[in-house]
Parts: sequence; structure tokens; C-alpha cells
Amino acid sequence: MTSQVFTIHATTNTSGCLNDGVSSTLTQASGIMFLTSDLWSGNVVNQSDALGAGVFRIPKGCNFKIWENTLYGAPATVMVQSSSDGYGSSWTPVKTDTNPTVNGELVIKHGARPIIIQSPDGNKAVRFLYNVNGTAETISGNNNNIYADYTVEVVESNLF
Amino acid sequence: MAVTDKNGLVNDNELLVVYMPNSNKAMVYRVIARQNRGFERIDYGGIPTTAGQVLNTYDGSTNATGYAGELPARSYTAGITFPLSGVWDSTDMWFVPYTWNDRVFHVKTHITPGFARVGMQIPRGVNQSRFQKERVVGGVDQSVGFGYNFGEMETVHLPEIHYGYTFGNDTNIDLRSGVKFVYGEYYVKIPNSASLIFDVLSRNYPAHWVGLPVSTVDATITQGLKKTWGFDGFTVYPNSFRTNAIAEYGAILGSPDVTSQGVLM
Repeated sequence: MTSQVFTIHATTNTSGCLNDGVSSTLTQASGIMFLTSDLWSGNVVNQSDALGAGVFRIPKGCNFKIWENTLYGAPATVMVQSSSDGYGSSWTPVKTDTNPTVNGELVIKHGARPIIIQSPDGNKAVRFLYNVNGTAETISGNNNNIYADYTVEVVESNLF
Repeated sequence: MAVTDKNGLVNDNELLVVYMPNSNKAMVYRVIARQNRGFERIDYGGIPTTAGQVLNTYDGSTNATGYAGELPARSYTAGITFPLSGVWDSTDMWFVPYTWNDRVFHVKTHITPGFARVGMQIPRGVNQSRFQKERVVGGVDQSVGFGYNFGEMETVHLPEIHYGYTFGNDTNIDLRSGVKFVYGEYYVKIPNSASLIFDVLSRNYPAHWVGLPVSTVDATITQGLKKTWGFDGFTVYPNSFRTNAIAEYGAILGSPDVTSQGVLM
């Protein structure tokens, strides 16, 4: 089978635009990030999903791997969660990254050991939460928004 | 020398076996030449869905495409064909009539994203995927989890039969799709040697085997084969049946239905 490597651009920019020149300012100190990618249409996850924007449902029989990610905007924490009990319930933290550096970026590479989330029954999903380590207005750079780029892979579960 | 090249396509002057499990029969071809040697790829574009096309979902509802080529969230297609202008049947680029009995198309289909489901209906509209005889139905449209591949599929298109490609997206996201074909348009003949046919089908002579995902006997397939080549395949026998099998194959190769087609070499 063909595995699919792609980038998920998680953003707090509520317009869902990939353009970093958007000037909207973050007003909420925490929440679920919107997800954009070249793989799906319209630049945002389907807004009609019952869980709201920012959820990626892993196909049945596949694994979701996180190979590396870069976090922009500080001070902020981005947490990846997976649903552990049916689709969209009992969210469990998978990885957490904190970027303390003002006007800097945090790069995390997992090398030969990616973060793996398995979806044998097709009911697993991932979402990306942000938390400003302070008030929302303290985010610096990136037009006061938090962005996190994840290089991920979806692959049939019997292939590692 | 290997039977197939780096793309998995059959080399010139090698043998191709198309096996049909439903009947335990196989067609054996000698690939005389590959018409598209050196240019084996077709970047087709998105899957042939149209803007506003309504598809069924895994949740029992429907979902409409936002634009042509989209595979909407939680949706699957019925058996579809790939239209192309200028081909013999503009609604199905892989279909050729029975008069084209010197051609078969060996096609490897790749879809992006690679986690999209890909299935096959032979003929179009007939879901052949079963588990435990006829008890459980599989396929791209089923949640049971079998009867499809992720991202790619290999088949051989035979004349006179429309194949239906099925695609499924069980994520919650409207996907942009892309389809690439790696194919060989083979100029073929059927070997006019019963002993060679037996050696090939008993795995004593190298050939590339492609099994068609057919689990039930369908008249369209049988009639298509007979109309094109005068018979519907050679029965596959074990080594211990050599004498009887060769006699049977010889009778097929010598029958007027086959010799009149001009397909032997």
C-alpha cells in the first residue's frame, strides 16, 4: 500500500488562512486549533463535523505517525490529543510541546521513532490544542497567532 | 531476465497470466510488445466525481462534492469509470471491444491521499468481495474492513468488460484526490502450445500472474472472454494432472472458436 506523508498546519487563525500576513489577533487563551493541509479542500477541516473544527479522523486500519513538528508563536503550548474511547470522546494527551522563546520557533524531530496513534476500528481521531502561557495578548510575532506545522504520515497499520 | 520491469509491468516476449478465482481458469498471453514502452505513466487528475455529485456515506446519509475530483468526508463512490475523450468509449478509457483481441491493458492505479480506499467491480456494478463463501459482503462501501486496498490497485483490463473503480474516504475531511496510472498497453497473442500453457499454469515456467478480484461466476465475464478469444480460459490443474490437462488445452487451442479468432502464436 502507499503511505501518505503530508503536513498539517495547525493554527489559531480563525479564518483558516495559510497566509501569515493575516492580522487577526488571538483573543482566547486556549482552545482547539484549526487544521489546514494541501490534502483537503477549502483550507479548513469540515466545519460541519460534530466535534467542530480541528479534528482529523484516522482511517480504519491505519496508523497516524508524527515525525516532526515546528511551533511558532510564544509563549505557548501545543498539545496533541487522541480520542481513546470511541470517536471524539475521552481525549488523551499524546505529545505536548512548549515554545517559551519570544519571536522564536521550536523544532522537534522524532527521528526513527515517530509518535504513533493506531486506529484499528476507524474511531480514533487527533486534535491539536493550544494554551497560551499567559494571556492571549502576550503572544508575540506571527501576527499574534500560534502556528504549528506537523509532518505526519498515515500508513496501513501492518507496515512500520 | 526478470518477467517484469521496475514498474511491475511485463517485459516484451514474456508471459502474463490473468487468473479468475471464481472459475479456477486463467488466460495466458505472450506479451509481444508494449505499445507505450518508455512512457508508462498517465497523470489522470482527480477521481472522476463532478461538482455537486451526491455520494453515500458510511454513516447512512449522503454528502455532496464541493468540486470535481473531490472525495467528500465519510463518503464512497459507486463503481465508476474514467472518461477520456478520443478513446473507443469516451466514458471508459480502459474499455475496448471484442474485436481488439490483440490488446490487454495492465494497469496499476495509484490514488492520493494514499489512505483513500480503492476497490474494484468486475464487471462494473457487481461487488465481488465476499468472506466465508457468500456470507459476508466486503468492499469500499462497507465498514467491515475488507474488500479494498489503501491507495493502489493492480488489474488487467480485458476487452468487452467495463470495470468499476470504487473509492472511499472514511475520514471526516473532504479530500483532494489525485489518480496516477502506471500501465502497459500490451500487444498480445495466446501461446499455441498446450504443454507450455500447462507449464505456465503449474508454475513451472515463469510468468507474471494477476488475479482478478472475482469470487462469483458472472455471465458478462464468461461471454466477454468467449466473444473475444473463443473460450473463457484454461482450467488450472496441479502437476499430477499433466496428461489430461494438456489434452484439454490442446482441444481448446484447436477448436474452431479459437482458431477462427486469429489470436494464437
